[in-house]
Amino acid sequence: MITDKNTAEVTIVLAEDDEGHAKLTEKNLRRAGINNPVQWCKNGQEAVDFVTDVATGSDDSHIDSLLILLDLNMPIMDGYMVLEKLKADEKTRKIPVIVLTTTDDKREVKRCYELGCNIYITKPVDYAGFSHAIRELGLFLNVVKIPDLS
Amino acid sequence: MKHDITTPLFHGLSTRLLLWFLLLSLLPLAVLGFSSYYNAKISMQHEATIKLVSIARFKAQQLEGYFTNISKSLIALSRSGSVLGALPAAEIAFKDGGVLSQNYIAVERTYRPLLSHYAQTDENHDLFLISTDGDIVFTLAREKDLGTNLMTGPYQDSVLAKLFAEVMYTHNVGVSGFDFYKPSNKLAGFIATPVFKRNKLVGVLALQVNMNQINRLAIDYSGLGSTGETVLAARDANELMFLTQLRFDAQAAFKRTTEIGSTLALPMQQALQGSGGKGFSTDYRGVNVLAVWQYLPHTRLGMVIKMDITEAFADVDRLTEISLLIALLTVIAVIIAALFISKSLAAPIGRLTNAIRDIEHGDYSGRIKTDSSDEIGELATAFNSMADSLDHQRQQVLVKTAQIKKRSATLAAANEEIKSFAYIVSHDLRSPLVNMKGFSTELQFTLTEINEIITQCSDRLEPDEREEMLRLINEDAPESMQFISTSVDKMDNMLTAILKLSRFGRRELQFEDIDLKAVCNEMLNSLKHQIEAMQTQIHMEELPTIYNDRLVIEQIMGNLLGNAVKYLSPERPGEIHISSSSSNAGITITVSDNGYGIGEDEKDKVFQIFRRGKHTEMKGEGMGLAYVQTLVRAQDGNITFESIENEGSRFIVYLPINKQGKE
Repeated sequence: MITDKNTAEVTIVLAEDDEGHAKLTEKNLRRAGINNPVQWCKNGQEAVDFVTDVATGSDDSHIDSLLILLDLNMPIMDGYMVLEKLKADEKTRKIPVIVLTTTDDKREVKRCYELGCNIYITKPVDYAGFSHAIRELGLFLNVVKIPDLS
Repeated sequence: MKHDITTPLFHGLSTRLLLWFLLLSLLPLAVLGFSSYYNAKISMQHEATIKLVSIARFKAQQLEGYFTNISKSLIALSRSGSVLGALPAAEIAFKDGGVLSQNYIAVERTYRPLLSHYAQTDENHDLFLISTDGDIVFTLAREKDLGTNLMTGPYQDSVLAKLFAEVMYTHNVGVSGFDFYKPSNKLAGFIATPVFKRNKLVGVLALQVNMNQINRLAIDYSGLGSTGETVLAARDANELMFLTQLRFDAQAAFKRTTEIGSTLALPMQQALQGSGGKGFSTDYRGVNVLAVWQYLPHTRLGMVIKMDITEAFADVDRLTEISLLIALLTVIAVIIAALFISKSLAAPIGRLTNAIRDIEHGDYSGRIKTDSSDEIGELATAFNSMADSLDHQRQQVLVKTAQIKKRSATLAAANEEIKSFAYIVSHDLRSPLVNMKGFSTELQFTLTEINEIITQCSDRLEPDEREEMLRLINEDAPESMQFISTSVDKMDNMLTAILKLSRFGRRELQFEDIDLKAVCNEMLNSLKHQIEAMQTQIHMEELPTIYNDRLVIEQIMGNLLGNAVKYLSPERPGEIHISSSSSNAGITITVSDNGYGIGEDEKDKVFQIFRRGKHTEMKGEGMGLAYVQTLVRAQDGNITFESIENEGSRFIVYLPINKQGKE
């Protein structure tokens, strides 16, 4: 298992209304060696509230230690609104957002990138594919944190 | 909306009616009027001329008769003893001592009473006895001419002298022209006859006649109206001399002349040239006249009886005026009648026109009131019922239109709902599938762990219990999970298909020039293996380049050709025809095959999703024709097919030309 004390500081905010999806995502992240704390939010509003709390209650370093895995179809506040809100706020603007959803519609992908998402990942129904995608994400997360070391 | 009906009425029907009325009434009137006018004019001219001719004849007879009577009585007198005695006696006495001699006076005293029968009267001025050598040896009036010689004396140029010479030559009675006679100091003419004694010429007896008789003749205007007159003239060298006073020139007698050959007094010029005649001509004033003229040989006078044309044809002019008046009255009557009739005809037509125009502008309320039962009344009745019917139909159309509007709004909403429904459902249904698939896999991991644990503590179990447990874990549970997994895959495929369909329906088309033939060849190339396996012949006609979306055309042709190949019958060699026809509106593409065909019971399911032909040994998701239909409909086109089971199918796709056009 690959661990790193720098990446360990990063809290992964998982905005996902489906508890099953949340659990499967977390399981696969763990299998991919990601041991960071995962904060599960049942809807967009909870995710925004959590991020806002962190942002107001601490300094920039805490904000830097957040990463958001965002589903699009959620009750109360959907993924697009979350993206909009976070990217509109100067304090939360820099938080990396990875959209993780079942939709692979080109227009939706385009819309997410336009709103400022960093990566768009489709959750396939095929579980092998699903696991693979999440593991790739895990590897990716390990890689992107390397510049922080220097 | 109100329309002015008088203007079109006046320019239309009424004008035509008016013209026809005028034509029909005036044409016969004009023909009749003209012919009767013409006849009347001719007969009036004829009558006027006849009148003048009879007057002329009467006057000529009068004048000739007058001179003939005088001549006869003069001849009788010349044979009387008085003259036969007086002439030689007077001649001898005159030659002996002149008119003043005792001898002559004695002779005169003897004979004067005998000859004074011809005393001076209105008619006769004087009586002359003239010797054969020209001496005037006796006169009743005893004027200056008495005793003069007519051949050598002072009056040798007088008309009397000329007449004397004529009578001496002809030995016959003669009449002189009229002229101013100086001895009498007045106008005079003479009649002379030779005097024979025992067949020997002994002298001439002459009578001087006044102009009175001629003047009476000339100024007798009876039967000549207010401009008619009798003109008498004599020829004097190159001129003609008017002898009497004229109606328009009281001083004309022996004073007024007209040159022969001038343009005036033409009838008189002709008369004096010896010819008679009648007709229109120009008189001495230069006025147009109706004239009758003749030469009077005894007196060598020309006589013209003439009347101004204006008067001669006054009746004709009156007739003209009456005819014109009748024509005018007829025209007025015809115009009034035409206006009345055309108004009664055209007014309802005008009202009808207005009502029809109102209908044209959407006002269906207009009806024509009519009491008449003629054709116009029928027309109005027919119009009213037509308007009723139209209004009724319009109401129905309005109601139907409202319904259709409502329904199409509902349909459009429903259509949108279905589209988003298909989209949302296919997305949202995927979410649980992820879980089903995920957790059944997780369960597999769990079972593997359980299996390891059981293996480690297998010695603590009864052999048959362990067998049963391993069987459940390694066979039953995986089998169940396999079914779950397969079903989830199947459902995922179906959701993917529905999603694809939904996306095709919403696709934004990218138009470009596409070589239809190249697309077909590409598609056929990918089916090469099956085509060869079925020994298929492809008949492809010339196909055009079309302006459309490449993906759409590839989908359509791929599915149609794929189906054609897929459902070929193994009982016969395959045959596939591809053709197209273009029009201004769009293009029709036809793909036909000689394959299995489609059974009557399947025909209504051809375009449904997840439906496949009977021959399910063929691979496919059952979405091909549903995709084609969705793509074609998105372009307002359509797809139809004809098929006979076991003979083949023909699919016909119609795509309208892109509205934005190429240019």
